Amino acid sequence: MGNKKNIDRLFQEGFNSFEVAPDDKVWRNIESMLDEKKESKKNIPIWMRYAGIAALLLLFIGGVGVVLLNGQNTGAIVNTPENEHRILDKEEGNSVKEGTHEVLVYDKGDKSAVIQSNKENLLKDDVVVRVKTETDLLGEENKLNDFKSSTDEGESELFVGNSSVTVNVSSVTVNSENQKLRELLLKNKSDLKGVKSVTNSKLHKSLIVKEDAFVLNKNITEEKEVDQVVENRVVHDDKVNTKRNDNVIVGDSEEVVDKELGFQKRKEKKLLGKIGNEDNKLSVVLGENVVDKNKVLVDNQKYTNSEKQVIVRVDSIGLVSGDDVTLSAKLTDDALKNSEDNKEVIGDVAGKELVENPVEKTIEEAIAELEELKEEEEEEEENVAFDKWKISPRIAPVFYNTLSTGSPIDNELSNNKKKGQLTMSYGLGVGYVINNRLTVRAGINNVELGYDTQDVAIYSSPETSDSGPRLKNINFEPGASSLNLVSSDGFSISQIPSSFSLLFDSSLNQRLGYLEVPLELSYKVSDKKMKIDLIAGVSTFFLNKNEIYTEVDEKLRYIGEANNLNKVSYSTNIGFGFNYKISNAFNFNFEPMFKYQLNAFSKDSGNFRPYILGVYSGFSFKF
Amino acid sequence: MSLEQLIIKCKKNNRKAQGELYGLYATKLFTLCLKYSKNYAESEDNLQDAFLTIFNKIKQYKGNGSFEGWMKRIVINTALQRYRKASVLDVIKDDDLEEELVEVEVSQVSLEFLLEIIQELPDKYRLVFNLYVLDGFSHREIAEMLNISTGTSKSNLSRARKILKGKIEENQFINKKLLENGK
Repeated sequence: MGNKKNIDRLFQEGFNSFEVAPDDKVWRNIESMLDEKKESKKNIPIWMRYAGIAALLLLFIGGVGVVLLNGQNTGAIVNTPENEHRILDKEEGNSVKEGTHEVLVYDKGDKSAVIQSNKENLLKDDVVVRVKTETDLLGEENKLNDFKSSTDEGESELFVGNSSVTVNVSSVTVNSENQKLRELLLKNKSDLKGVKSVTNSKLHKSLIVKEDAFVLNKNITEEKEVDQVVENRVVHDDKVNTKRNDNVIVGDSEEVVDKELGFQKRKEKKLLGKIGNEDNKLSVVLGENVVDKNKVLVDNQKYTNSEKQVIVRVDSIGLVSGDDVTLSAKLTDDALKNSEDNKEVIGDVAGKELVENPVEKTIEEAIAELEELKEEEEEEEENVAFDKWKISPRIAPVFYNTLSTGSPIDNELSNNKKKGQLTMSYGLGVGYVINNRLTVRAGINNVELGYDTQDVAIYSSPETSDSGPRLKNINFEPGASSLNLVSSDGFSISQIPSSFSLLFDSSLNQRLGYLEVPLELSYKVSDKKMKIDLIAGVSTFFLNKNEIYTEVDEKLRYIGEANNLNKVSYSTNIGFGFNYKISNAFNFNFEPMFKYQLNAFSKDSGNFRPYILGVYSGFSFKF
Repeated sequence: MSLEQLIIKCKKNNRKAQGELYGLYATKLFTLCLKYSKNYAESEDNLQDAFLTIFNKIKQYKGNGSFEGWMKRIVINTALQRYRKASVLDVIKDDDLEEELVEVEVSQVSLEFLLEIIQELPDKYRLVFNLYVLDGFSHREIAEMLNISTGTSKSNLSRARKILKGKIEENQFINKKLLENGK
């Protein structure tokens, strides 16, 4: 009873000789689990993870693409009466109501018509063709008022298959009134982008929109003339019209016309179609409903002896206004082509009655052709007109790893397994387009990198922090001064001062952060809707984060920083770029890049050769 | 077969060698597990997990130092991990009790009883008591291992001792009564 004892000693002595054997089932469990492990110990290869990411992105691209393509087809605006009608005010003369964009084509003869067309309608599957005819207005007697009142008369709708085009044809005063009308139209330049007069045949007229190289060239010269016309507000006499282009163009300004010239070169859209009007002698006013921008329309008319056609060329102005592709329709005078005919026409115009003409092509065909042309044109556009600069915000999952064994932390850990981490990089890129193929790119990215060194044993040596084998490339922070780390690989008890204070399954997590400034050259190898680039270059890395953690049971503990990291380092980069064009100015990019770091560590990097795999994606805007 | 040969074979995943190694050390390590665990079943689980770790990591044992010591560390680590995951250790208040000498009268105390009262201790007390008293870790080491402060380690140890003492004395008192009644 009186024999007292320290309780610690009681337990220590007691358990010295204490042993209990475990149940046999424990071994059986262990055995079965060892068997299982053999089979399940297959890691998912890295490339599969990346393939997964890539697949997701492709799906996304596809989705966006489908939506956008659908949008193009369905987003057309159908003409509303508001758009179709022009209001010509009695007192003030003719004015074009806001929101309507028309080109007037005057007939030297008796009648004139207003054709209002809307490109979007033309492109749409389901477009209504309306032909408004006006037969009452004749010659010099016609008044503007009459014009107004008559616009609704004689409206007819043609449905051609699924496709139809909205064309309003109204008569307009001609001859002496032309001048007035033009002047009035000039007053309303903001609304009226272009005016065109065309001499007209008496009876029947087919309207053809057609591609023609002659026409293209000619139009350019014509438009130059037109400039003058605009400046001087010269009114063309009917005779002049018939002789030369049969047109007058009234533009907003020279600038508009110039733009037109520019865009005409690149973007020529031609619609071939005919509209037969019964018994109309017509002047044609061709107009466009354009969502944001309206363009001057240059219309030329072509008469051939035999066919009596009006050739209408339709231009798209998509370049200027972006997605809301605007359309100008042009009546093109094909005088160059058929000068003799034209002369005859001139004669005709003076009073010859034209014979009704069989329709050569249906509007349906014309629309089909137009669509085809539009596609061609877009491709052309890409070749001819590219914007020099693009800016592209981007984000990327980046994977950091080493090509060889070796540890930048200590030789002790050089044989330990390293596990790269998937982190994020984001930034902004700027590209300068040198030519169709080559682009110089620069930018700035923030990038975080990290990797684990696995199988590290951590123990603390409480007495002296210097006694144990410390990892030489870490500057330990004060709170971690008692920590020692060794590879559980080359484990040696003699290295450890006090027994047992050891954590086995830990790893060392090194985290680096950089500001990356890439300078790269990309070379376009494929130029389809999905462009493919080869990219190569160098990056400069500016260190902005340097941390080392121990990781035990997914708990991180900051222990210090590496002392062998260079503040500035470089990498060589190579990769592919996939660019998906969403619109002229807007691309989706997807760029798997491999970046090999050259001198990230200043010394003792232990043959650690880090690289960065990143899948950069983002949007680029051209300007 | 020498231990070295056994280890080499175990590194090659030789199942027979693994079984032999288990046979050699299971008892010793299971006893260790018993002290660190709440009960018999948990000890078995720990032993199982520890041996799986040993077999997986045996390639990392390069023959420096005691193999038994290496295995013991794994066992203890396995036991500790269970509680780290449960984070029972975080909630301990740090009221820096002074280490005091706790003494009990020595009488008939069975090992089974000692083990029983150790296992009955709350986890946080049991681990600290085992690490400090039975396996010789310093408070500083314990603090590192359990991610607690040294003060907490000390106060937990002190409480563990008091609880154990109380249980031993209670047991002795009962035994005494029984003896007296038995007279």
